[in-house]
Amino acid sequence: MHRLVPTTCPYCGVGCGVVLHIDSDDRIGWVDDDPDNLSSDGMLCVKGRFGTTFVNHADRLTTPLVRRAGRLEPATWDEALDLVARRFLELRGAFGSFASAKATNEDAFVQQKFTRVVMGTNNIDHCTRLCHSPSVEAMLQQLGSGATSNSYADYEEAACLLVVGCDPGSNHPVIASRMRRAIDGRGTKLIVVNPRRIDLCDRADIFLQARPGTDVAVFNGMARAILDAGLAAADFIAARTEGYTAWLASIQDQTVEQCAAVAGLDAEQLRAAALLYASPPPVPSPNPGPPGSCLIWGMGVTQHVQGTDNAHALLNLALLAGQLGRPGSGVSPLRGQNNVQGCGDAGCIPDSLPGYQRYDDDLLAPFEESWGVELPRLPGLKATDMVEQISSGAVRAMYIVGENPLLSEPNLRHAEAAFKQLDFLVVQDLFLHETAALADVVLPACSFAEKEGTFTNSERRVQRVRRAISPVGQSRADWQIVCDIARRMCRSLDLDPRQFDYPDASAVFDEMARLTPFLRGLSHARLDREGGLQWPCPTPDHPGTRYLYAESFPRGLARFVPVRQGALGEELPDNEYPLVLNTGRILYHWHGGTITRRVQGLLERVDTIPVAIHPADAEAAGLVEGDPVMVLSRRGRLSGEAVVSDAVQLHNVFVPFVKLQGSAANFLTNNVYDPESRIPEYKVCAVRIEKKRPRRRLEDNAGLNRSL
Amino acid sequence: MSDSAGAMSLRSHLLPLLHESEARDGFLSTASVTALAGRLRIPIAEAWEVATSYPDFSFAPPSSLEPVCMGLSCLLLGAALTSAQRAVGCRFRCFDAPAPGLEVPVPEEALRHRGPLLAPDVADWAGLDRARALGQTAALSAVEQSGLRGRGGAYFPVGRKWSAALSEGRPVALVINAEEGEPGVFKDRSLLCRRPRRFLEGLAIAAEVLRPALIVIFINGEAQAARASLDAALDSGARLFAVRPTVIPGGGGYVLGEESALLNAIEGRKPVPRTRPPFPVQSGLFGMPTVVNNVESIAHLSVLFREGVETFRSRGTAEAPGTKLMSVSGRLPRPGLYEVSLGSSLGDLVSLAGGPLSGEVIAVLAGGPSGGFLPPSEFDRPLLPGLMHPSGAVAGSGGMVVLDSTCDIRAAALAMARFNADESCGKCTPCREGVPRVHDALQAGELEGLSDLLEVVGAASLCQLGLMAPGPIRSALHFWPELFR
Amino acid sequence: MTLRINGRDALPVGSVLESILALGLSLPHLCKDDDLPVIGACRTCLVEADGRIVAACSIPADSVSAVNTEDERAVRIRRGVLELTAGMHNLRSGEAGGPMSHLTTEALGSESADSRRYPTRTAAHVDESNPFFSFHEDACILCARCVTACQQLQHIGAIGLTVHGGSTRVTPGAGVSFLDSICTSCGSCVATCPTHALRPKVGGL
Repeated sequence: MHRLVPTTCPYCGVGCGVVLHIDSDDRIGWVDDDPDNLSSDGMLCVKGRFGTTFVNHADRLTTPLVRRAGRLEPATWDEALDLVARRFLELRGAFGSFASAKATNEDAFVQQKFTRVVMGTNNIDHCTRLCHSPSVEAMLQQLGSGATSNSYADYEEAACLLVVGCDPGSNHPVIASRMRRAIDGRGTKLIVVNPRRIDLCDRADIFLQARPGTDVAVFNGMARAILDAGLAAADFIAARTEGYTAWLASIQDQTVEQCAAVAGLDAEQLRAAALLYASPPPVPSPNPGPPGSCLIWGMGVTQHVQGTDNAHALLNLALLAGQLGRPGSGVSPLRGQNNVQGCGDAGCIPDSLPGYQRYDDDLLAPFEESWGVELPRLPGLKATDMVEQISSGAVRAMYIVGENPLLSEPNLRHAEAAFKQLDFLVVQDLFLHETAALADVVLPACSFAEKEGTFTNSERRVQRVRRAISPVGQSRADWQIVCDIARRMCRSLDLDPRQFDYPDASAVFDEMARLTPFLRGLSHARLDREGGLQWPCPTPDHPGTRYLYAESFPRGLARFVPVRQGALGEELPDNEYPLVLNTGRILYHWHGGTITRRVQGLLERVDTIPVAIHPADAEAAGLVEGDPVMVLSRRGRLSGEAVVSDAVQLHNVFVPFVKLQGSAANFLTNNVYDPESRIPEYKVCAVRIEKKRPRRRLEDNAGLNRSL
Repeated sequence: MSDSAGAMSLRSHLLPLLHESEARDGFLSTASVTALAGRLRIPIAEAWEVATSYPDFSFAPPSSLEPVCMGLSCLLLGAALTSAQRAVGCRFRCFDAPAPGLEVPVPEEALRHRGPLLAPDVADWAGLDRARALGQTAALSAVEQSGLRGRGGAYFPVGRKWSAALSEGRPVALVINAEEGEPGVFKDRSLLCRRPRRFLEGLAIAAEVLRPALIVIFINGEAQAARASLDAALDSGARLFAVRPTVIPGGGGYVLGEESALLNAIEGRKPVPRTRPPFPVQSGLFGMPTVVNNVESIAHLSVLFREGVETFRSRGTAEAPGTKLMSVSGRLPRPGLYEVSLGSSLGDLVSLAGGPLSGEVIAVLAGGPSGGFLPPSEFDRPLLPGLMHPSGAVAGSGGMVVLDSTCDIRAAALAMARFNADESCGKCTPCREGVPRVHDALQAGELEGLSDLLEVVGAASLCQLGLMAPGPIRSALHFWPELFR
Repeated sequence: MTLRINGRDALPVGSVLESILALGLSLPHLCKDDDLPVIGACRTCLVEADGRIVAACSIPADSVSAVNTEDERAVRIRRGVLELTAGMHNLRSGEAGGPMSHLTTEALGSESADSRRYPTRTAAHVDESNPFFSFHEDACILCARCVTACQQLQHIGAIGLTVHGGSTRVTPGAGVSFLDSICTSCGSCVATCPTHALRPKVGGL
């Protein structure tokens, strides 16, 4: 007979509840939705429902691997861990670590503790650097917290949804379903801002197809339209914000028409969108007060050299309209990975401790007391800077857990060259991916289905992850592996090894909750009892928090930050590379594809990189739908298949960043960064496209992956 | 003046736009439906399921063959096809059966027996003035005191329906059912064609009492003449309304006689019944408390407010006051519309219409496909709400088809079973699966277990269409068992 | 109002059906998924309530006082509906998806219905275009759960119930394959299908 294990989906940041049906062979036979889960409300998408077979894929790492004479060979855990401990000790002081936003809060917490306590550095970061660091940066500056302010329930109670630079239908499908439910069922208005026509546009009231890189112009233009119409939330601005006058002065010289022209939009459309957002017509709502609007955005806003400015412009708009701090309103950066929120909450960021506590003495004190060590006070290197600092020798050893930077970093040839210069690289993951193939030691980690813990989703809901099957091979939970390394090193460093001796994951969580004020009311036992709860949840009897900023902002008053539209991108089209490359994701693959390439059905659905190109550009290049094409930038090339579609703008190309048949968009993208957040500019670079001569198609993607 | 159309969802434009598209291209194609779906922001599969649900839409270029009505009355009067013709279902001109399969305006001569409702059309708005003088509350209580019951077939008290909707305390939707899809019935078309101002005054009175946020008139898509007459009346009487009524043409389907299926149709959804509760008066069109009234019910309001409660109640019975329009057709010399007091006998009605065309009257199908056959021995039964006979006959919406010695009752019963099978909306299992099996068993003469099947269909179906579908069969088996052996 | 079910005091929770199931009694309910709105199409949860035969899924528990699931007439009619349902369902097809479908369990089991009372009237169409699941129309009983899940839970609208009456079918798009429709393969239809007409290609329930 099969067993049922309720747990949390390992894919995107929506955090859907799943019920794993485990068959008599200890495998996942079926994945059911969990109607009791308040985030997913009985829904799943294709990846959650059908995409967990990677757990038992033949490619799973089953033993540690150690590089001997240039080759990675199976080793015992002791051999591998001893080697890692010895080399980390030798290279302490030139160490950097990537934590995994796919692993649990417990895994993340232990890894940052190891990095700070044992390695004595704050050089720890995770993939938020590559997705929402500008959002977090801007929100911290303007509001005082980097988290999503509201809940999915608010999308369903909103009168207007402003969806910017994201494609929820592909990347957060269950959120897209909840949006459509609001639109179909309550008449909620939808505004989509995107350079590309996304599926949700089918239901949009207004679609602003802005030119890539013009976000500041779009949102300053909307702000200006709101001001012109007298719809600024005067009471809110007066009572809850600062910096308004200076900001107001900063946009005095920009008209709606000018902004619209920069963005390639119709001024009336831009104005209509602004007024709809500021003052939407009412819908049936349980909430008193004026109809609310939710502002929801993704990486179309952030992955630019001016990513932080873009986020500032968005937040200014929300403050101007007073669209946050009450039900049915709010600001939401949609988080990409299942635990990207939690990984940051747990302290896997270079500039703050768990709970976003900065390196101030009073905030450091509880940690130093608890951990019995003096902690580093200097902010560490950000992920992108760690890679850039390898060549300078500042980073010589890296410990990469559940990440594959050699698919996710920009300009992969450049990144690969950097990683090859490392003295010692440890990769801990499920599969021998591109980065692992370069490692000195590879450690096999458990998947979500094989361990206990928690994930925190995009709406700050902390949810349980439960062990459903036995670990595959000799794989172990990330936090256990990190503890084993740490204990091997403690003696040499005169540290107490008991600091890394937890009886189980719930003990790790308890320590994290004790040190993190907004998690203090949570425990595994409580989550088991009550289901997922949203932080802040400071006490055991606190019900959790659906939306933030009802009374005040963490920084007191919210702040307007003047921003001006800059260059549209670092590398713009020219005669040689006449097209703008925009990268993103598709429904059937997950990020770089390390996991989804190992799900037969997903690969069957999409096995070649779809290169979306406007019909006029296709005609100019002599391309028709389905033609094999080559996309080239100054940094690299990729092979894919032409998808001729007017969903993309003229002179634009869209490519998902999944790696298929050896090709990946990040061979093309540009390693230039937003100065504040250090996010790479994934969304804009110059390319050209060529028809490829037909050639025998690689038949076995799985085989290809194995050969990596 | 606000416009009802403005208060409706984007999706509710689907049905009118499907009609436009069909009129333009001659038929509906996947391309044209896809384009409409995109315009209305509906997924294509949802638009497609709506479009294909209606029997009146065609999905191939129109046939050049001349349509011939094969409704029951036309069949009884010898309708037959030549090779240049094609069969269509009842086209609601039973008053001149056998007839071509195209609707025509109902001629004045078809109004054979006129009471207060069919009296010459109103020249002023005295009834409305009276209602306005009374005010909302008193007018409502007049409707309640009049005992007026719905004339669509269910005979639910109109006043009670109205006050239930008003008691919800939310803006009300008023929906007029002018779909009239029951073969053999042409009373609403007759009213709209010949007495449009009578209807319009009734509608204005209803609006006066209900103060609806929107008024929708759902009219049979084939009833072009009635539609034209209605539109003209609405144009001329526009000033009577605070909210301009919107007219939505249907795509056929007997099931639209069921209120909640009608509401789905208006909303641009698949026209199938909803479960109850909630009842439409609680949560109907777009979730609003909704009053659905038949054209005839509404027209009676004009009579009521002109004559006053007492005079109105002087006709009919205490339980069922007033007159009723009976569509009488089949084998008799004077087919047409007869306005008689509720409670008069079936026999009197048959006599009024001139008795049999040849030989004897052998049966009347009372209530059409949802009714039952009665032999002359039962003709003294009164035309009243509810069953006229336990085997199935009802006054219903007033469709009475007369069979004389030339007729085959078994064939007529089979035709009704076929009609009910064809018209099943397909939502619930007993009706969708059971009714065709009833027909097939009957045709094959396999009577064993048939009564069990009739019981299942008659008790388990979701809506009245299925629940009443056994009537014609059960009654024929009851009175003429020998015909089926 | 107090509620009595089969002579026992019962707590009126939600619908009559929910109250019956809460007592631990069994009652077929092929078109009622706990997590989807009431559809009312299958008519297999018929009971006697205050003298009337009603579909238990559609009636609020607090609107009736006495419910009898074992009423002779209700049992007879319920069995008849299940027999009609079985008549449109290739039982062997349904079983191929894994354990017995709700229909076979309920039609053959608790209700002692004769699954072969009516000659089957099933469509033979099979759609295997989607990599994750297939659709076997010969097992489909048109309960509309899949369509309800697609349209009213996920708000995708990839499938609909086309045509009417006996010609009603579950159809993706305007008659295209599942693969060529706007289906996002979320699997909510597969999860809710009570007869394995929609069934996963890998693994199983």
